[in-house]
Amino acid sequence: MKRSVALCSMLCALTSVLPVRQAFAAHKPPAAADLAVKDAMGSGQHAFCTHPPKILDGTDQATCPLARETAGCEPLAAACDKQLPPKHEDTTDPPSTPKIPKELGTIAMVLTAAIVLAVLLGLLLPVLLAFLRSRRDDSLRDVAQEKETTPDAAPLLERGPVITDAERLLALANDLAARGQSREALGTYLTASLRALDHRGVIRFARHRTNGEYVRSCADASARTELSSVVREVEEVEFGGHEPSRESIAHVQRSATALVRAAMLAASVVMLALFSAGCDAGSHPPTENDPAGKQLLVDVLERQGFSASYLSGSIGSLPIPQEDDLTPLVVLDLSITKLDEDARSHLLTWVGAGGLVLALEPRADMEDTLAVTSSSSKERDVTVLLDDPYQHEVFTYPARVNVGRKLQLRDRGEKKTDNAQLTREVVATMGLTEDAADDDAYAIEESIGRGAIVTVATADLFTNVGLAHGENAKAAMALVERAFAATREGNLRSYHEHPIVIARPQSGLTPPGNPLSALSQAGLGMGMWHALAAALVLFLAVGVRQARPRPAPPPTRRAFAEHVEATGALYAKARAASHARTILAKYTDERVRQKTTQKLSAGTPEEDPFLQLTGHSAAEYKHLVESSTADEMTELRRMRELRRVLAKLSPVPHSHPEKKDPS
Amino acid sequence: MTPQAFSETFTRVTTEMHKAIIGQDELVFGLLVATVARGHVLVEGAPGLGKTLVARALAVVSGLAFKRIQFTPDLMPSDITGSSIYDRQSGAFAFVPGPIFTQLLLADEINRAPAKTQSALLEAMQDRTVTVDGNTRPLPPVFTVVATQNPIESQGTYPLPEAQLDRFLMKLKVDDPPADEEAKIVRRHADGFDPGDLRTLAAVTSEPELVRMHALAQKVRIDDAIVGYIVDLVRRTRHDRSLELGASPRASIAMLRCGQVVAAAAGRDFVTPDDVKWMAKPILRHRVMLHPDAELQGISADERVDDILKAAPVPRIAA
Repeated sequence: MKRSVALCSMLCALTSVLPVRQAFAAHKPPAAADLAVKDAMGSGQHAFCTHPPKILDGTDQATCPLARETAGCEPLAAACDKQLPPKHEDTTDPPSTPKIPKELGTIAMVLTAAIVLAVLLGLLLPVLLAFLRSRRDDSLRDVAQEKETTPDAAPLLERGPVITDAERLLALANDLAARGQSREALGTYLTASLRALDHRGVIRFARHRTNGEYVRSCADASARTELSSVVREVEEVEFGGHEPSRESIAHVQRSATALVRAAMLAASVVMLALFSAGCDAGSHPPTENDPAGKQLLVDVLERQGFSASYLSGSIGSLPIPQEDDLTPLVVLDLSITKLDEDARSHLLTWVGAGGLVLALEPRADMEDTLAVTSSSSKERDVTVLLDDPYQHEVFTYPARVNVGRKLQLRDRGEKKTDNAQLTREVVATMGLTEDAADDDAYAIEESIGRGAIVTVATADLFTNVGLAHGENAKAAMALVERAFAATREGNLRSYHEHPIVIARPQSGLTPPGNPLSALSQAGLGMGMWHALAAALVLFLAVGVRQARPRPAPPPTRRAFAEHVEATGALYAKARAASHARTILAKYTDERVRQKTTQKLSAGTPEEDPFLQLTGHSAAEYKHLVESSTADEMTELRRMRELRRVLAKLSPVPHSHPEKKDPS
Repeated sequence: MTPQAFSETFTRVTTEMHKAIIGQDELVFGLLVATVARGHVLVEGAPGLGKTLVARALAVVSGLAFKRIQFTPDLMPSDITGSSIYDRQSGAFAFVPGPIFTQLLLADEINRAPAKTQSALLEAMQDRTVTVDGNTRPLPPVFTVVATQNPIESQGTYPLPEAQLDRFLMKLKVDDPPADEEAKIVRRHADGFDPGDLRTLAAVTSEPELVRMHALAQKVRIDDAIVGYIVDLVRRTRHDRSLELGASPRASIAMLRCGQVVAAAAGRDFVTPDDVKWMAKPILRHRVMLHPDAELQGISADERVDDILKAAPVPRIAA
């Protein structure tokens, strides 16, 4: 078997230099991939074997079996041996982990709930108090609102149309100056300068700010000097009544142009910096020495004659290819790139229109989409089959993976797309065999519409360690070529012209349509709603405190009794209700005594006249008054009783009927 | 006199005053503006912040006659205006002028005297004359009252009535100095500075020059847009919900006069909105009366004036 493989490799190497295969003419065949790997590893750019990360994460640890079998990866293998956790046979907790009593969890939950409740109360209390206060002040009439509607409140200053773009304003000013409207031109030059500086962020443009304030607050010293000279010239014309001279207009024009151009230049520099930062983020690999990374894949692909890079956008925003478009091959490692629903459906549409996908290690959520079922296998050797349509010969490329995993074909059933020519073929099998078996497949190619998907059971072959192992690179390149060859439409140009893009972990997320969905996608949906609710409550709490008070009703003439009641109401408003009640009680007592004197002088019964007039004996009344005028009197019942006494003595109501009881 | 000469004199006076006073730029500037604009100033601040020193320094530097009245509850109007005293030798009443007959009068703690005594200043402040026993006597052309009051103590004080407050061109507030300025003040005293002895200050201007400055300030051009801006600001105080009483037309005139002086002090012969806005708060803060609800909420007159200034658009040539 090994001999046949070697023979195949040699044959492939030989055929690669022959011009008979037009498609393979511009790039190297898979058989040359091991040389490309050696060259890449020898370049010193890939240090995942010699200088592995100090801490290996889960994906890195998954490469350990291959690392141990790869020549030159001894440091990585040593790191694997050192960091892989020992297997625990028993399921009991390790002794170092202290047992946390369940009660602590309950207490923590109660404490958290109490804290949240306290915070909510702290925020809601001012709102509630303000609401109650506003209800209490319902009697106040909003006279100022009426005043505002009077014609006097109309703005005194006529204003022109507002043009916000500094460049447009500058052009307008130049136009006005050319037409001889010097005064308007000067004002427009100044506005253009202010807009430009506002755009730069060195001043804050507002209708209420004066030119002097703009000059004083300008954060840029050189711009401040220019602006000051513009302001001086403009104000001399605008407020000084001076006629604008040609020199002053030219001077203002120069200064304003310099300010606007400087602002545009600064904005361009910022945009360029941001743009280059964005480009930078898209072109650089995520890490340098990640054993499970794909840097070596990119390097080898480029050495093989392909154009390879990382996908900068999202799967969900891949443009639907047209007939003559150069469709990229997307290497999609599904073990690290999770596709959301939109991206998944877009991917199928994109493939149907001519897209090519190399889908690695499909998880359960993608098995329906790819119509395969993956299961574990004891076999770690795989064989990739690559047929040459011109020579009618099948080349085999053996490879070794970390963990055995195989694919089984599933019927697409109703998911079959209209007008889709479905062709599925096993392109790699488990074990070192050339016989393709549907139930023991390592990779399956499927052409959908004008495009194709090659599904590979594991992503091992395409990782840094996977490519560095033995002859895995040849198998990986063979799978890449199978992906290109999978399409039956014949719409492909030579392979090397098609770019290969490698999806990032975040490429599976469809770009959000708005900031809210972006937050939701980032897992901050609940936090966002909480923050919005808190902001609303805070806004209300602060707004209530900052709200403008409503004016008092216009003063009206009142009787003395109403004044006393109003005084009581004022005390009540000032949270001195007990004091107010005391005053009212004293006042009522005084009135009772006056009335009693009047009644007695008018000839009332002589026998216990007070009892007959009021229904209370003198002693009871004295007690009532004393308890009502006590400092800490809190019972309104006594107060009401006292007022009833007064009512009995007064045939006419002693207070205004519309007024509420101030106490 | 030209605006440039005006500006130079103004700068000379402030520079000379700062030989004795550290910081308090707003107070010094406001006092000088009021003196040139022939107005009067109410200075409010806690004790010990240099209010009296600033007034005395201004008198020395501008070469004006200076007198001080300590207002007390038992102070009588005649103690301010003067009174007629019977002269035995001549057999007639002779008028003995009070301290009001000066050029710079410091009415210290003016709110400690009752309203009757405070009102003795009304005629002098408004008409620049003093009437005693039916005889009206004119005051000097340059006559400025600098009244001080303490905002903290309220017991035993008589708040100034609105009519009296309106007579003051501006109300200046004196705040605590920043730490570095306070350190400089202490260092200067450690080096032997005596606030009671201002002989180190020189008179860098005179009454005739101040009169000429006043005349020049009155000729400073005011554009119609500026007049509109002033009127807009003042009328907004009358429509503000938080204000029980807005500013009167006298406030508009005060803003006009102060704007002219500020413009001349900057060496300009025309007023800009910046000049008006610069002095708006000192001119308006004592002329508006807060609504009781606003007072209860802790809103100050300065805050309301600030809001009004932020709501009023500044005139400029429409683009």
